[in-house]
Amino acid sequence: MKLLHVSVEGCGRFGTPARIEGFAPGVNILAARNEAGKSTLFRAIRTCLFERHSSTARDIAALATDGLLLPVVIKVGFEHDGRRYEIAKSFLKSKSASLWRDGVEIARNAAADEKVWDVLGIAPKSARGLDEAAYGLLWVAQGKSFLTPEPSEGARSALNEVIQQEVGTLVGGERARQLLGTVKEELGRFLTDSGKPKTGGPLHAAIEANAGLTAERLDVEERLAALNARLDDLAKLRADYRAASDAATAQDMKADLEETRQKLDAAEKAGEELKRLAADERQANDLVRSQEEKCQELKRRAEAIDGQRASLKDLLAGLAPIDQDMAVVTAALKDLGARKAALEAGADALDREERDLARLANLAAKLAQRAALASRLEQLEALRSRTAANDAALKSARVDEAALKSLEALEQDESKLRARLEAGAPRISIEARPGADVRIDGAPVTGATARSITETVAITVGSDVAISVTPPQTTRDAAEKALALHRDRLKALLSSCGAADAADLRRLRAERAALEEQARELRAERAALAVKDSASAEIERLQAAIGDIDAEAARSTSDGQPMPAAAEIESRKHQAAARRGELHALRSGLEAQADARKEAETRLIKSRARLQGQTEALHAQLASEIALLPDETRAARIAASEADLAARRDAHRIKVALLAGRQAQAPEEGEIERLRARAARLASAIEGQQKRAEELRGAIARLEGEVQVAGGDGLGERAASLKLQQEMALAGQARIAERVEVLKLLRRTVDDCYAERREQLSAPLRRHLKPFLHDVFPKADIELGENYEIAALSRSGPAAELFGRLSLGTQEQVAVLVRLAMGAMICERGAEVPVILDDALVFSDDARIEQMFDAINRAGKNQQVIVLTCRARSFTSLGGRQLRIL
Amino acid sequence: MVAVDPRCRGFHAASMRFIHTADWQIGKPFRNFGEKESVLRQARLSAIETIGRLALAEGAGHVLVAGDLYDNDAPAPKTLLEPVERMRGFPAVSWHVIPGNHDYHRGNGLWDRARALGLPENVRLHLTPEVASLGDDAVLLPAPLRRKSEVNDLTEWMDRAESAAGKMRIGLAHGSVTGFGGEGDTGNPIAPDRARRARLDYLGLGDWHRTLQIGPATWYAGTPEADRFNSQEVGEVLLVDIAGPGAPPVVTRRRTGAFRWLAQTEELASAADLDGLEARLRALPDLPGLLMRLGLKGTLDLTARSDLERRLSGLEAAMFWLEADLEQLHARPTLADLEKIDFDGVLREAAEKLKQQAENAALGPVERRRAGEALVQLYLLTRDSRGEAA
Repeated sequence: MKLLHVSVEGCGRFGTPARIEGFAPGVNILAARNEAGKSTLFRAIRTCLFERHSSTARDIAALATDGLLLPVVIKVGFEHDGRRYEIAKSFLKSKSASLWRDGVEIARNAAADEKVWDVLGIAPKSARGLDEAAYGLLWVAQGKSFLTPEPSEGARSALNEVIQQEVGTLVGGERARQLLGTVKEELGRFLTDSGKPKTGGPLHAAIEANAGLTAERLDVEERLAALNARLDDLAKLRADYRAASDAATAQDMKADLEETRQKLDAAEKAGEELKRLAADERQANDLVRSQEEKCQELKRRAEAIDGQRASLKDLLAGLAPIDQDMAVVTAALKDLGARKAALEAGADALDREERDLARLANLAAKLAQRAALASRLEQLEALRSRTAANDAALKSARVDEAALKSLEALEQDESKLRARLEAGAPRISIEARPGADVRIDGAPVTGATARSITETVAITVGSDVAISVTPPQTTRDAAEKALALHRDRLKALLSSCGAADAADLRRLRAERAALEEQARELRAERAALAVKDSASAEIERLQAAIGDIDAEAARSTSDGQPMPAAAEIESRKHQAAARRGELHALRSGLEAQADARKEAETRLIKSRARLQGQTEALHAQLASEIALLPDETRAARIAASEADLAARRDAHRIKVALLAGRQAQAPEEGEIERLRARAARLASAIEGQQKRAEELRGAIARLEGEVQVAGGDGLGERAASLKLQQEMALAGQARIAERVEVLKLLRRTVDDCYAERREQLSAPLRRHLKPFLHDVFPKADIELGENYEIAALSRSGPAAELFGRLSLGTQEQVAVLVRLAMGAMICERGAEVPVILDDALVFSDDARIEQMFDAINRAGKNQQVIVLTCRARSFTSLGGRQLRIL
Repeated sequence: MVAVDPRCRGFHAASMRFIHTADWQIGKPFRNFGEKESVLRQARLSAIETIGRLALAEGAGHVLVAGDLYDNDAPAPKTLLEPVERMRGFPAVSWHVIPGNHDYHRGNGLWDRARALGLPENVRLHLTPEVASLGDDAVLLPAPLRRKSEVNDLTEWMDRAESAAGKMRIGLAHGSVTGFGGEGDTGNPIAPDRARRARLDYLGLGDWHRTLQIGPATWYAGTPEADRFNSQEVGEVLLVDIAGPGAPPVVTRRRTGAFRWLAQTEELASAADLDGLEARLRALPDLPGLLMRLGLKGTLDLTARSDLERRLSGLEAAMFWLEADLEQLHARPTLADLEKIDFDGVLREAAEKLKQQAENAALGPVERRRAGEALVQLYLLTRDSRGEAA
């Protein structure tokens, strides 16, 4: 097939008719600026040849010129097998298609769509899709040229067909590939690309069905188990109900209850009678007790009156001796008081004597300290005098350490000034040779000497030569000014210190330093004397203390008596202490006697008061008793009370006998409680039995309802059916899974064998590729993978370069070369398909693009090659037929 | 109970004629037969009508069903009613039913449900071990099951059961006679000499799906419609005649089943065997009523294997059901088979590899069989691509 011309209208930027004519058999180039419509024309050719004219695909709609309501009209002329064809289609609006051969229309509309495919040797793979086969492989759209060719099914068939023709049918590659396709298609019904069961596929459906059946079976079995459990429960409940509703047992219990209740009634009545009789007996007994107490009370009162009268008599007899003892004790206490007063007077005199002795002892101690106080007073007075002298001397000596430092600083400043002056002054060097008479300012010079001239210097050499060297006036003036300022400062310092010169200042500083040392010594001495406040205050305190001692001594000797010695004072103090001990012992004795007498007196008073109180109380008690039981009625009242008591005792004995008689006939103790408990138990049991029967009846009815509902579902039958169904489903799933495994094994085996033959299968393509490849990459080779995929490029080095690792430019060049080779291979076998490259080789450098042009022209020798580019200058050297859009 | 019309054919005073059957197993699922399940289920119900017609035809006033009338103790309501309605259709026949291990009796269970739905007068349930009247000349001693599996012999009570003198004693039980190699569910033992011990004139048993005489007066009736392979091939009932008390029973086997269940295994060694196999199978009687499980063993080349599948397809259409098991049939491709795949190249190489794997003894049986099947698939796919007819 060779393209001859193409024309479009209402297509992309071509709202008005546009065409390209004059396609040549070899290389053709359409070089036009960007957006000139090259790619639109490329898409238009494809659309016209491979799309049904009735299609409304989005790609076709996208071809329509914006803003115009025109149909997309495309006409393509081509030559095939020596015949000239023209296909014209109108898309979207006024849809139509016509195919002409050698100027004669041979098909129209849908027939034209399919006829042109038939002419070109391609076939629709489905109602909606068309495999463009070799055309899809060799017509490279914009931006696709650097991609490794991925042949479609049809393209692979075309390539394989060529290869089969070349290497013979022995390889069987195409058959294997077709079989693999069938196996993969079959496997695709079962599995996804990742090998999982495909949703909607038979395996997935079997698994899902199995899961559903399992869930349903488990549910049914669970419900069936529940039904069986309910039936078992029902059987148990029925047995329980039969037991609970047994009439004979219920009748026995009722009869027993009735008998028990009758017995209980009789027992309770007997109990009530007994209680009444017991109350009567207790009442009679209480009357007896009451009368007994009254009788005893009368007798006790009579005895009490007699006893109280005897007691009064005894009490009055006991008061006289107590009064006598009280008189004796009072006299003794008075005597003891007189003796105690005498002892207290002696003690007062002794106190006075002891106070005098203490005062004398204190005075003697003070006199002993007076000498020490006087000595300290003398030391303090001398210290105070020397301190005053030192303070005065220090006040007059003003040269302190700061003044000395200021002096030293001034001297250093002067030295620096002089040094600086010398450094800035001219310097003379003189070498006096032996025998020469050289002098500087009159001083002889021997040997070599050097000197800075800071002031005028006179140099003489012998007597004949006199040299005067004077520094520059400015230097001297600056020096003089600085030195004068310095001398003023020094003078002010000396004046402030009262020194004549620096030596005098240093002397005065030495004197002040000596005074400061003396001051430190005086402070140390004062510290040694432990003077707390000032020395003058301490001196005044000492003088006052000495004065006090002297005054006290004068007072002690004012009566003309000499001051006793300390030993004598001490002896007299011992004597006084001995006398005080004796007085203390005597006083203690008197106080003990007085205490004993007072205690006896207290006891006597208490005894008397007690007797007196008892007497008065007895008098009052006796009076009240006699009022209640006068002596004159005593005997009659006691006799009447005793007669009443006897009558009550008789009445009580009758009641006791009656009660005892009834008690003997009454039921045993606890019988009523036992009967009552038994009756309650029997009533409760009967009630419980009835209640239990009612409950069981209800439970049975409920369970029967549940069982009826569950049983009505046919759960058992359903479970059996599901079990079988699941077994079937599992077997079915296993069969499908096994078929999948068989298909996988078949695919794997054929795949492996196919891979082993790949090198053999790719040999024809490699042979065709070689000249193209060497046009650009001399001595290079290509490694091809599955489906003609470009795996690697081998160039000069031993190691192949993976395709993906190559630069984009090289990837594109290799991909285009492989397409050219595929085209050449197909063409060589008589199925010529044009190669169309839309905007390819965009990443190629100048040298490489020239080599690519060689390869393209090599392809152009045997087949049509159409190159669309926007790089007119770069593609100038491609050669071939220049095309233009008209 | 409705008495048998004395005018019926075969009726003799003081003699007894009845039908002994068991194991109807109504409601049994046949899901593994796909769309044919309903036919098989329906056949079991139709068997009841066959029995009813037989009873009328033979003048048998009583049909004794020795357990397992139902397949399950919790059937669906429709399943519960269907056999009852079939029996209702024969009012002249008394149907005596005891529960078996599949449909054992318990409170509020299957039989209470059936009674609650209303049983016809001619259907008599025997749910307790009590002597029951069986016409004027005989009594029935039933041994109903109240559990799925009993440890004790429930027929033991028959030894002590009293009956009026001059009346025939007919026992009816469901279980396994000990010492005869039980084929039913385990449990529910029955002493082999129960008929003698209990002075029974006949003991009708159920549970085993095959017609079998245990003793002079003890029989298993089998099922009236076969329901599985490797068991009773065709359904039967027993027509029992007893001339009078103490007389030996005369038992006649009568076919009632519509379908025949056959399982057999065939050995194949070459394509030549296929003709014989097909001929044998096609010669079997009543193919439309035949269910067959056909096990095939041996080895075949790929061409023969393909041919076999074609033949099996034909047979499957001819029979009611054909279940071919090719698990033990191995594919052994010949050179011609391999050359049909390809003379050389990728596919031939793949075929050779698969053949090696299929014959590699070092591989497991699953791998070998899978490789063989993959080879068959390869053959079939390449055959399809060549456009050859299957």
